[in-house]
Amino acid sequence: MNFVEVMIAKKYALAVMAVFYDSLSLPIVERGASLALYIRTHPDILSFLQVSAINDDEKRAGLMSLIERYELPNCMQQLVDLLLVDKRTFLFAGILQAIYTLYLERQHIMSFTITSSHLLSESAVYSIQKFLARNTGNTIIYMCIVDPTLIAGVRLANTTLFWEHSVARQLRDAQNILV
Amino acid sequence: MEMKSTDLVALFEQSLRGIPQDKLEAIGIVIQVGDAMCRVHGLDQAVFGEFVEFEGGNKGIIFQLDEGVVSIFLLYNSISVAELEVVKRTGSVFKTPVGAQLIGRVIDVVGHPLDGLGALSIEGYMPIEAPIAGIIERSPVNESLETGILAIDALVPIGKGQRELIIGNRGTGKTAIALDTILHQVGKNVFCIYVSIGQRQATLARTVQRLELNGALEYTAVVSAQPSQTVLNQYLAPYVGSTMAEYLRSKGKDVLIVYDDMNNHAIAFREMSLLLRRAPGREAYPGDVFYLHSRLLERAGKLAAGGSITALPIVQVQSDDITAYIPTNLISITDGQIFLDTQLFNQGVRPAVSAELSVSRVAGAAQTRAIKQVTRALRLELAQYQELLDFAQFGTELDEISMQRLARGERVMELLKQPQYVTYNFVDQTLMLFLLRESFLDAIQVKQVNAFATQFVSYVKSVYQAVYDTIYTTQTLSDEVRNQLAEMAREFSKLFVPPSV
Repeated sequence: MNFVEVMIAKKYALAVMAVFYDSLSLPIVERGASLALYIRTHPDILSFLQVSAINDDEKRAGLMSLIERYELPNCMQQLVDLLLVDKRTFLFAGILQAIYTLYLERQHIMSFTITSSHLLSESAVYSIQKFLARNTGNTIIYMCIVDPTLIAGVRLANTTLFWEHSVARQLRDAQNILV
Repeated sequence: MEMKSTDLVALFEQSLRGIPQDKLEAIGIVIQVGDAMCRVHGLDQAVFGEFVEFEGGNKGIIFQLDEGVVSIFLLYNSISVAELEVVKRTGSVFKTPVGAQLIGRVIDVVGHPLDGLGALSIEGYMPIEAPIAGIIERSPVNESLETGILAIDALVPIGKGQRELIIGNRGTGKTAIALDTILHQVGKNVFCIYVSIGQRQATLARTVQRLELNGALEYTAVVSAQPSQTVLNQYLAPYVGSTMAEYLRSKGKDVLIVYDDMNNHAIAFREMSLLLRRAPGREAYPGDVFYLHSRLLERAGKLAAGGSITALPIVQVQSDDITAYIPTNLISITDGQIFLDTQLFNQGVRPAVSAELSVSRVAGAAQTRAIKQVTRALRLELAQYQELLDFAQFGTELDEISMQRLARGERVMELLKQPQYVTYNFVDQTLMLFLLRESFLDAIQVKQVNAFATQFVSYVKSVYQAVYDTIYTTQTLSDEVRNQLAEMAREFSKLFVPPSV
């Protein structure tokens, strides 16, 4: 999606949030984000939505089956109908992603990716979660990833905040200074 | 392995307690990378013009803030930027190294030495965009900055703190005038900064070599933005040079800064604006290209507290058309222009300064009194000569007065010819112009005018040193000195032996 499409998708998402906010919940928007990821990683679905020669009814049926499979609420069906009228079904994934982001924002929830060189213990993850909650003032949801390229240490990141204490960073900083 | 993993976690936890934990950095994620620029999602609190650092080592400046996305221009093209790379705020704008020790060095925009003379010794860093001196802090331009070029010092004098545009076609000697002016500042306590914007490396190497050969690097710094570097470097170069000049001025020094050339700067800005998808205007330049140059050149000026920045921006025109967009902008911003005429250049008049189109808005206020006394009618004489010359080309028979004016005009043109890298101080210029004003050149053959004038200067300097020194110290021509000079000129006319051709 280009920037213009991202902006339009965000506007649709804001409209959905304004009208159906009460019928949304964290598990629902998370499932929506998963569906968005699924559509994005399957270019054939995007093509299916973008090709104007394909009948709107077929597009609707396809999207409805996805909505059903991901157990999304009825408001999403209304969104699909609106997108069909506007000939913008290809924005569906972007809108779901934007709804997820906006919902988290409104609920003061922040999603972080915790990357560590080795698998972290539950207590370590809990300390990290507490640390992030204290620093951001938000509820933290997270995803843990093990990345050996960090060598040792941990890296906490979302799209706007970042914290890293790792050997990889120290080496990177040293390289930036020396080279 | 499990044991090792546990140990590392313990080690990390231990380390975590030891470092400040209130430092969540504001970041963005690169979502699109283009030609020397990228778009970044995040950086919500970032401000326009903020300096940012990429995780991979590159650096950049924020040039556009959109909803959820910022556009950043990159400083290095040798360090790649990848999609999803983390970008961090620095909370600061771009700063450049400053200090008197930068004089004599050749540096790039970032402050890396290009001359192989080792690390720079600096006195600090200053932001490249800062509030300019207000009218209360400024002083009128009333002190001459000699260029050493007779045609300029006589016709379009430049004062300390003035902004004088050098404008002309390609290859008409624009850089030569700027270089001669720099070379002439030796021993005059004026620091010079030469900003090369998008010039070829070979050209810059030649310029630096020339400065070095003439001992001008001792009081000159060179800032270079090469065409092989990213467009941001060319955009920043004049601001970096100007910041260095401002630092020296704040220490009470007089600084001469040359921007070579502003066309390349405007083209760099146009490229950036088009990449940012800003609406193109005339000649595809963005609407704020005037502000780009006005805010740069407004930084020049003379301060009441002492210190001045004299700016010599250079701009190239096509087919002598000074009505193009960037030249007209610069003409309106600066305090005058030195127009180099291609026709004159091709006729062998060097420097090819056009007396008709060149102007200095400061004019007499910045002229040494002695020169002012002997140049009063010079412009008029040249104008009459040009007019008559056009008329004479039709083969019209002219009256005697017109013929005299033509003959005199020819001598004026000849006298104003000057070889490159040869400069005259104001006393030399006064003596030469005295000969012209008092009609001592009228009896000399046109081709011998220059030889006569330069030999007369040497004659006065060697035989009548006291008179020469009097003019130098008083900076004026008293009636007594005038009479003495007239006597000397008559004496020299008898001694003058024309050089064999």
